[in-house]
Amino acid sequence: MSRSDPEFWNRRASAAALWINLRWTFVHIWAHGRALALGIVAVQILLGIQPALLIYITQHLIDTVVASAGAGGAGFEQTLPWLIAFGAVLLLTSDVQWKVRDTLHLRLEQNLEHALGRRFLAKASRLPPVFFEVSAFYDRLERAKNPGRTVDRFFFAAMHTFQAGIRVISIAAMFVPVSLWISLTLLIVLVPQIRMSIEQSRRFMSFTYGQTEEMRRAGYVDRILTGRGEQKEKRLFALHQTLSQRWRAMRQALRKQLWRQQQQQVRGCLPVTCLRFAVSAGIAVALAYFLGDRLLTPGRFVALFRGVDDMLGAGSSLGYHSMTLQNQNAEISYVREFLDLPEDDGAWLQRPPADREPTQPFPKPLREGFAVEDVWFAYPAAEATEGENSRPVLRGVSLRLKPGERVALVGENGAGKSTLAKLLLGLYQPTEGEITVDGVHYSEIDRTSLANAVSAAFQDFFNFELTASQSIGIGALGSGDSDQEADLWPAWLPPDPAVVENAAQRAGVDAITARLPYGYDTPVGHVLDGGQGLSGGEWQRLAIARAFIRQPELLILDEPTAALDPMAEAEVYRQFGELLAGRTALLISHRLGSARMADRILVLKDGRIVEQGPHDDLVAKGGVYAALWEEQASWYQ
Amino acid sequence: MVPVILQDAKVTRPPTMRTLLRFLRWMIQTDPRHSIVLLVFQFATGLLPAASIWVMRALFDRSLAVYEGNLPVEDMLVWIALWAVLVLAQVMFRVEFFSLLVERLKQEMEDRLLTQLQHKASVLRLETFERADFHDVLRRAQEAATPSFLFILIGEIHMIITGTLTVVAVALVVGLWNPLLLIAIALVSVPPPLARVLQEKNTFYLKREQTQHERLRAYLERILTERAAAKEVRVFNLGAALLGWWEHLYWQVADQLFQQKRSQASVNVLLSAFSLAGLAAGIGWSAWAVAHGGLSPGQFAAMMVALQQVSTHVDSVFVRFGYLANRLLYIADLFTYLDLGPEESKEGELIDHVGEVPIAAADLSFRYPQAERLAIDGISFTIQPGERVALVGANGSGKTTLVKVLLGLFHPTQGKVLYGDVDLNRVDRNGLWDQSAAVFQDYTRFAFSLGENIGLGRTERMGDQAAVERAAHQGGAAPIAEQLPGHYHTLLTKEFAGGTELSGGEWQRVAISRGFMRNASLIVLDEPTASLDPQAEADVFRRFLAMSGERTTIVVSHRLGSARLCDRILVLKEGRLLENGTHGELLSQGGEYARLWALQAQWYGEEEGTQ
Repeated sequence: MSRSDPEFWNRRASAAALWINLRWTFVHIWAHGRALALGIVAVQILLGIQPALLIYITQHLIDTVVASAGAGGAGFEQTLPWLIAFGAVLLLTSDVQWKVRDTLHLRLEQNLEHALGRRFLAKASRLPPVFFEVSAFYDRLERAKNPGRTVDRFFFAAMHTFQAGIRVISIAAMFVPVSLWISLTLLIVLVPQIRMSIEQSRRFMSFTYGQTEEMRRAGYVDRILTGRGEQKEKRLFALHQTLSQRWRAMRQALRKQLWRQQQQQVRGCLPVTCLRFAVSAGIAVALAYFLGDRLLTPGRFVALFRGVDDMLGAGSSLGYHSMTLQNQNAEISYVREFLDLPEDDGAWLQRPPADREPTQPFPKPLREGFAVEDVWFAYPAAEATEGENSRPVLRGVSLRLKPGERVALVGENGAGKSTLAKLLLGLYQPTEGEITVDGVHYSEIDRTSLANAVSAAFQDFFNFELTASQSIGIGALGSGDSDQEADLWPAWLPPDPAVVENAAQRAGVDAITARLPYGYDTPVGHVLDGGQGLSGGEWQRLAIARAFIRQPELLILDEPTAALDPMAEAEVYRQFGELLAGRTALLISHRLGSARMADRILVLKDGRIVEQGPHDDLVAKGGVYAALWEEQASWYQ
Repeated sequence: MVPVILQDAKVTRPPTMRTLLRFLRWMIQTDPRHSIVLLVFQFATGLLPAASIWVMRALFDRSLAVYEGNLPVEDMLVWIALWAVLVLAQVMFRVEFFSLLVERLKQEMEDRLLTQLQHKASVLRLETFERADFHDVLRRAQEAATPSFLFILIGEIHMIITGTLTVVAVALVVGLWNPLLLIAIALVSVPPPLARVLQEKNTFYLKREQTQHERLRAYLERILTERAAAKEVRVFNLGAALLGWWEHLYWQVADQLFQQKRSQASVNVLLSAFSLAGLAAGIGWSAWAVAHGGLSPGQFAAMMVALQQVSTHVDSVFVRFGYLANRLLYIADLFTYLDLGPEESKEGELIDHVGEVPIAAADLSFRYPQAERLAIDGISFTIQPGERVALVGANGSGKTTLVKVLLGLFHPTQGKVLYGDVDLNRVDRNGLWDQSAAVFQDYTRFAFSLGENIGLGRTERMGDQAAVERAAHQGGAAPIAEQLPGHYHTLLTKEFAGGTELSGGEWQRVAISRGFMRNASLIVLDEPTASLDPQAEADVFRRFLAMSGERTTIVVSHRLGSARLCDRILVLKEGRLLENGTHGELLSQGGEYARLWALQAQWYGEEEGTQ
């Protein structure tokens, strides 16, 4: 579901959704900061009744002052308590608002950010990896980001609406002794105002988001115009003119639409605003007549007159805050829906393994090895309706990996090599068929035990931009007791330096760290201060070291040398024999020259294994592999 | 243009006032009419509250007379009407008129801002883009162009101007009644600015101190939630450990921030004593003055309203000022960016036929900004017209950099590049680029249609379908077009509705086809390092050689098998030119090239590969 999808924005429409979201938000706030929240509610109530209190005090203050006017100080003691009350209320509320509430608010926000952020991150880290591959699912995660802040904003929108409500009602209540009709009129005239605000917010949102696709397109062209990667081609192909014209045209069209919308909105507001002012002026006139009939004291007249003024402000703010609440409603829905996703490893995404519990340890030592039996795999379709999958990537793959065997997997891009690797790593579950190790079904093996037994260096590896030592050691975090306590990381975190250096040496990383200013403790990448940039090849070596550090039973190397130059590539391959040291290994490669050192080669094509055997046999056979080999070898003959 | 040194901008806080004034000047330049109208209205709205206090005072005085029966009620109605008009005018200005005006102004400013950023990117020398700190500045500058940024910024400036005016005008009105009342106004106004002065600096520096923690925490969040890291997080079982780390950082930053906020709040509460004194003194004295006949009861009531207004406005002006100062940091970065230099020179000598002159490097060196090492170190060679030359060497040996210097994208640090006998520094670069075609390894994958992706190779002929198809045919993109549902009109991205994504090999063919759009006399191919499968890679190379024909050609390659097909091979190592000759010559020399060749060829030789 993209942002241009009307479904996305229609969510805000329902009042039931608002109610569900409010309840959900309050449950979480109750759990993570009830004292703070109650404090805030109390403050909001105080702020809400402040104008009414001031009206009351003003009335008496003025009346007592008038009574003492010209009396040369007699009766001044009657004025004094009201004077103090007036100053106190004014100061107290401004103090409470800026000092107490903001402090409480910061803490509540922090609590929420921590508690919900933690839950969000934990959930994200437990979701099955397929979740990340299907953009419709991934979007859900993207939209639920910063859950603490979203919940906090929603809560505050609710609180402000609540406060404005109290303000409106308490001010109106001050008019009751004078005339019930005035009270009611003041309240009734707010109804069209609020409806108008909500209606306009809805229209404006659907309008703005209706054109997001166009906005994003214009934004994209702007990014090309300002971005770094595109500058070479912009100059060489003289693209600036063309692209900037295109951008301007898109921009003009958007502006015109937006402007029209804005004008409509303002024009729509006009009658409602005028009505409110006419009513307010009318009430002021009525008050004047009450005064003339001596039904009001001058103090009360002044106070209520101010009340009419306050009511105008309070009404506007009620309209504004209920509009904000409405707008936040959609955001909170995404957070709620994401956090409430079932915890069970996303069984809703994939065929759940029939009554198998992940309780067994990974078999050690390996006797028979890994067996893949008639495995099919398809990514879940975007709609994720039950049992429906997209086109299969693997179509009935069977293979065996004996302990200590080195197997190469070759095939064109898109043949399914990386998918097979992910299945063997336990990242994906087969759509059909099964994977076992020493007869134990993968889904029966305890997750941690499995994670410790298999490891991989991926083709699209992630750059862990920490210190060099951490970037490698993250493959075996917290195995060491370290004195490297620092405020940037907890004491239990740093990996054992000896283990890291051992893996680093074997993967040839020591040559890289040798030229870094602080050796293994040098930050690499750009996240930490003083970080050193590394080349693609250097990052790849770190990734290889990371894969080795766990001493896994099965090591998968998915194109481990794609970013290396030929020299480095040859060197890495030369070290492989030593590195693997009797481990079971699956090597995925485009370069058949490197594949031939494996004990056995599997050729994957369109999701099936079409040939397998040692290099010489396959070449002699004259099939797919032989053709590929001829092609590649010809460059060097 | 004086180049701005970026590092300095990071250490000290840029002066707020100077940035603000420059911003206002920039705003007026952008749209003089609307800006001036806005400023005038800001003055008008700023004065309205003072006027309504004046009216209220008259109204309140009359209310007393009316109550005592000394005045008919009708006498008040005029003042009520006047009051209603004033309040209505305020709201109209603020909501209706102001929002339209600001929207208009904001759109103009956004357009200008984006255009300026785009223009700057197109004229800045390419080396600048290689600076590490460049991107922080650019990112923050772009932040200023996000939809709500300017809107809020203008709003804040507006509130500060009108708020300040209101305070001053109200003080004047009250001061006219009795100058002593000004003391109360002053006492009420002191605490907020005092608090701000006391606290501003340490807030800023705490934020700066925390940036590394914040950055690391945000990075850990990214690792846990991003697609790119999802596999590793699971394979290495990182979830729990990273989460613990995240929490460790979270409370460190959060607690510091909270403690600071709390101590600021207590200072603020102390400062409130000032306000209390001011209020008590002001109102108490007014009441006393009323009792002694020095002030009318109406004035007293109006004074209460005035004090309330002053107190809210002063508070809000200074709260806003804090927000504004933060926003101005981004604006300061924007101006830093717009001042950056040096820019590309526009003039130069036009070379008529690039393909007919030799290209020579004479003791050529190049150093990236902020780098210590030379990326290219004293290289000399000559490429004859029509020659096909391969640049080979390990990663980081300077191959791609050399190509960029030869094309005039980077300016040599030392030595020179000669086209015939003209120094490249004196050559009209646009003219040179017009006659050359280059396919870089990190070519752009435009999120446009297939036809546009190819047509952008020669923008003048983008609309010429026949030309695009011819180029697609030559570059190998024609079969892709046939498979796609909308053929050449298919959008090549999944980012936008109705688009499809191509594979790496397919994109490569689109990029080559783009090169074929130009009938260039100098051709450059920076061979893809991305993981194309060998078939795709061989295909790319064959097509490229077909494109080169009789033209001067430079190929960057790390597969020696493809490099050997060129007339001459230049071997680079750590920025130096090590060897220069044909495949045969270099093999028989038995140097670096021969060694590399042996390494690569052994995989495909008859004997078993090494283990």
